[in-house]
Amino acid sequence: MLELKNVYKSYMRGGKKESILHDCSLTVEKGEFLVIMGPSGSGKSTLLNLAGAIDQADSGEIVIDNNDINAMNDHQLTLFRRKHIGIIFQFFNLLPSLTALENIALPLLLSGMAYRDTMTKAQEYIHLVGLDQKMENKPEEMSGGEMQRVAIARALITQPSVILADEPTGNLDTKNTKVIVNLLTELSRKLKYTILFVTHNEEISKIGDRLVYLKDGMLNQ
Amino acid sequence: MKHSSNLFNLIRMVVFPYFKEHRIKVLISVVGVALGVAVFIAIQSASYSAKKAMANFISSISVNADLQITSEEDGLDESLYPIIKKTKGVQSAVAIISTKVPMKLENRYYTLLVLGLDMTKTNKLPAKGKSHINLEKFISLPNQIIVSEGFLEKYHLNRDSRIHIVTGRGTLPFEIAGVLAKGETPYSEAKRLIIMDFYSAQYYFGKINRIDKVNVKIRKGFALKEVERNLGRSLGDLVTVKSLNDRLGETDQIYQSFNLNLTVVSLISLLVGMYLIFNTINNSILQQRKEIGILRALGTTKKDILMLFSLEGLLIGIIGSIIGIFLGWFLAYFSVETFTHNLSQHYLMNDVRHIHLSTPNLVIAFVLGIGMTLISSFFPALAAIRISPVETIRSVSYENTRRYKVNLYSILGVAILVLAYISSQIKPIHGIPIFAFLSNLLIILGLSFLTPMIMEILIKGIRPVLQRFFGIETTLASHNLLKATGRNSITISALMISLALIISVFTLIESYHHTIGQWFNRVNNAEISITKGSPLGKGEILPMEESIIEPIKNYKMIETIDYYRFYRTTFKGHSLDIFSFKMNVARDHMDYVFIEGDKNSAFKAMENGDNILISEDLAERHQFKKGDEIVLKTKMGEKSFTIAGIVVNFSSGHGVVSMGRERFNKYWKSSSVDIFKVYLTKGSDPEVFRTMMSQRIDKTNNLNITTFTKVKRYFLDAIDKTFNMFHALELITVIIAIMGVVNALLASILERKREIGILRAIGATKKQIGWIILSEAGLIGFISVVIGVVGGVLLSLVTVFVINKQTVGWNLDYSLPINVVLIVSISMIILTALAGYFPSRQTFKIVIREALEYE
Repeated sequence: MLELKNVYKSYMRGGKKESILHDCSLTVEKGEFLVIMGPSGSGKSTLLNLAGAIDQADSGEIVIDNNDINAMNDHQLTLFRRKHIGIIFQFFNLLPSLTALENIALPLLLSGMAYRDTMTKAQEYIHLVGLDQKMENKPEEMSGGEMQRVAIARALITQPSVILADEPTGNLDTKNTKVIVNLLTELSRKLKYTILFVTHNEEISKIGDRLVYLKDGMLNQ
Repeated sequence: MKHSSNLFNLIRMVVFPYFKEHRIKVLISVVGVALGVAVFIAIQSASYSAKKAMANFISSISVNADLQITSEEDGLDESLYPIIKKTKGVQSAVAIISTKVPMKLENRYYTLLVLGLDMTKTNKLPAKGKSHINLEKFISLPNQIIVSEGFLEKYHLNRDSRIHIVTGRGTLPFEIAGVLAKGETPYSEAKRLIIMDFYSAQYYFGKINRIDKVNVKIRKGFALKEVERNLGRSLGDLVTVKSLNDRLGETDQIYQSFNLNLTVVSLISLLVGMYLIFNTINNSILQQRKEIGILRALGTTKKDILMLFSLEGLLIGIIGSIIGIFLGWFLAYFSVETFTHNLSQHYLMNDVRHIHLSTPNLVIAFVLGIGMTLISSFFPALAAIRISPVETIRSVSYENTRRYKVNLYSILGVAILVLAYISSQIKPIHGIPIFAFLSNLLIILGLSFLTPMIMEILIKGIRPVLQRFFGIETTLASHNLLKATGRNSITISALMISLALIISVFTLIESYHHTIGQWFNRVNNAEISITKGSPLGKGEILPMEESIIEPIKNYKMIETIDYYRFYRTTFKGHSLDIFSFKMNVARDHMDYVFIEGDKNSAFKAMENGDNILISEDLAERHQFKKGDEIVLKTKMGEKSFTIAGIVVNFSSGHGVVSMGRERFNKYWKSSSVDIFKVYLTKGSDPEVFRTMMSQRIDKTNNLNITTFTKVKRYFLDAIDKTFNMFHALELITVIIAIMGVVNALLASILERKREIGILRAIGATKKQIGWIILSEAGLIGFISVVIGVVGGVLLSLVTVFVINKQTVGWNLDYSLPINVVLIVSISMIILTALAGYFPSRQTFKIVIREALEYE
């Protein structure tokens, strides 16, 4: 379903090439909840960016649902992301001017679906994350946990093949962390979403189907 | 010393890196200031240079004169010449015939000044040197002229060329008897000058026994004023004695108000540039909030922060002003034509070869450029010192960092608009409508303050439509605009000002067209105009004898003919035009609009006594009412006339007195006619009549037979020509405002880099992001147009009813050119949307990964 084969990634920093990922290979099965852990600067976010078709590898192969990411141009990557990838960020990254419902509907609106239809669909997903009473609220009127639930609903609305969660609890208190983790676990178990979950939290690492460590750009499975 | 070095370090560490990183935005701001300053410099320098060229021309034809004596438009009686020479304090006096005439060259007409000099009494032409003058031939033969080398060069002629001049005796060929070499005589500098023998000029231009001007040199030991007084006493009321210096500084009121209006418009361009700077410095502060917070936390004083950002603006101001001065000097070469055109309607002048930058103008432009940037950077800088270190260091986003007090601004905006109304009701000072100009400035400011609120209302109002019909991109664009209300309001205000300016100028033109067009149809409703001398607008119309019309007077197509005469005199130191007509024709055909009085009783009074009609501008200027007495200088001495009515009359900007022909002829001892206004019988084709008459009477008398439709067109075209320069300024103001849009969008993109990254990450294509930016630009254009049209209508109301009334004195009917408003508004939206193209392309460069790492 998601396969990374001998992936190598580097960036130019200060005029020098800096290797981030070395020869990384990883296979994630459909419906699997994979937890990725590692210290800061180990390449976790880079790995997630590559898996989320946000970035492309220098070498190696990344295949999602039989699509070779590295062979795509920018436009193809965008359309691919829109359809196949759902992303949950640490800082929620909701658009402050839109309501919760509009934020959830955003990916569908971007794909050109009619406004009214997207709103109907978004209502299903806001219900899924248990925020029916907040659908007309703007992000500034919600708590961190609520915002992250809206972000989860936004990631789910296109029914993507893979959900990438980049430290989604990193900015939440213990109570909200628990809510979010439970929600994602439930989604994975019941709805068979494939989830890649990056975290620093040892507790959370235990709830996944599998745990991989990333250190100095190398995967340790 | 220590403080200044600290400040310099801060500039080096904060301002220069910012300039380097935001090169395009800084460049746009510099260009904005430069264009604003350039427009001001161009207007002032072109006007100054045109006036200087006119003064040079007058100097060059008034050799060694201290005083110049002139009279009413038909000149002085020759009998006064010996009196002038004998007046105490006069050393020498040179009688001159001076008349504007058309030269016909390859089927085109060029206006020249003919100077008739008495060569036996003046010795200003060189006998030797490079100038080749056959003086004997010049004096003995009437068809001889002297021209300058510059004249031959200008018109691509040589000394063997025959010069065809339109005279009172037909268009005749003249031989060149001499060419004045450059630098050898004062006349050599005047390129639109023809020198003719004094008596020949009298003969050819219908000035037998008349003198146009007498140049007087005063005797040593006598004061100028004393001789001026002596001459005044000797010559009487009909003669004007002025020092040459006074003459050089003379321009008429219409030219002055034209100049003043252009200056005000150029200042508005500068104001739009000021808005641009405000946004640039404001953005710079918003984007450097963190740096400011850190600097404040590290002990930098508020004063240093204030100085730092004021200096940032000052730096842009200095560079922009310097570039603007050079650019303005360059632009002046293109704009000087308009000034020479307007000046040469009344005066003749040399070509403007060089643009002179006067020191006061340079200083004013520099001070304005720098002053305006300082003011516009001071307020954002004041906001910068209020930034608390804690708040900024903790801040995670630039968005929503500044809350604009929309309601407070709206109240302020309404208050300013009320002030604008009050200001528009205040009378002018010395004929200058300072308060009306202030009113327009207040309208601009008031609407600028109201912009945030109007923007909010409009965006919230149209959002459902955007959602329904234009997709998520425009909806997001509408949200983005409200996120940066302050910046976008200023951008919108700048565009609003430029649109309002365009609408107000076009409304003024349209109001002129409409009002004058209607007036023309009512008052000049004859079909054919017959004049002698110059074709329309090409020089002086020569007076005709009544008998000239005899051969056609009883022609069957003619219903009646009016014998029209106009005569320029002076009244209380200002020019005044007297128009006379045949009472019976005027009563039946001229449909004057009466401001005071009515046609029947006024015409009855005019037929029976010394009654006249006066134009409303004259009445306004001197507070005349119907029934008042007005004392005019006639050939029979001062004579009192009763005002029988006040009418709308656009024939002259100097004020018009209209009276019956019999009365005019009696008091001004005249029997000549300037225009025969021919009324044709119903159903007659004016063009057929014109062609027929041209063949019958034109050839022998050199008459110009024109249909009044063509005359009307000429008048309306002349109005359009006057406003050409305004359109150029409007265009520059639009350019500055559009640059503001580019700058605001670039700032917006920078602030929303992360948001763009998120949108891209969740599936927005580059094209969609670009479309959001274009939509923002389009929405900015749309809101600007809505407010701009309101602003344009308000500005035009003040311009038409107050400024125009106070400067020119004419009441115009307000006429808003709806088609122009529509075209300009749609163009403005398209142009603004296109301005979003470059910023939208910039979003293509955003790397999603970097944007998401942004914090």
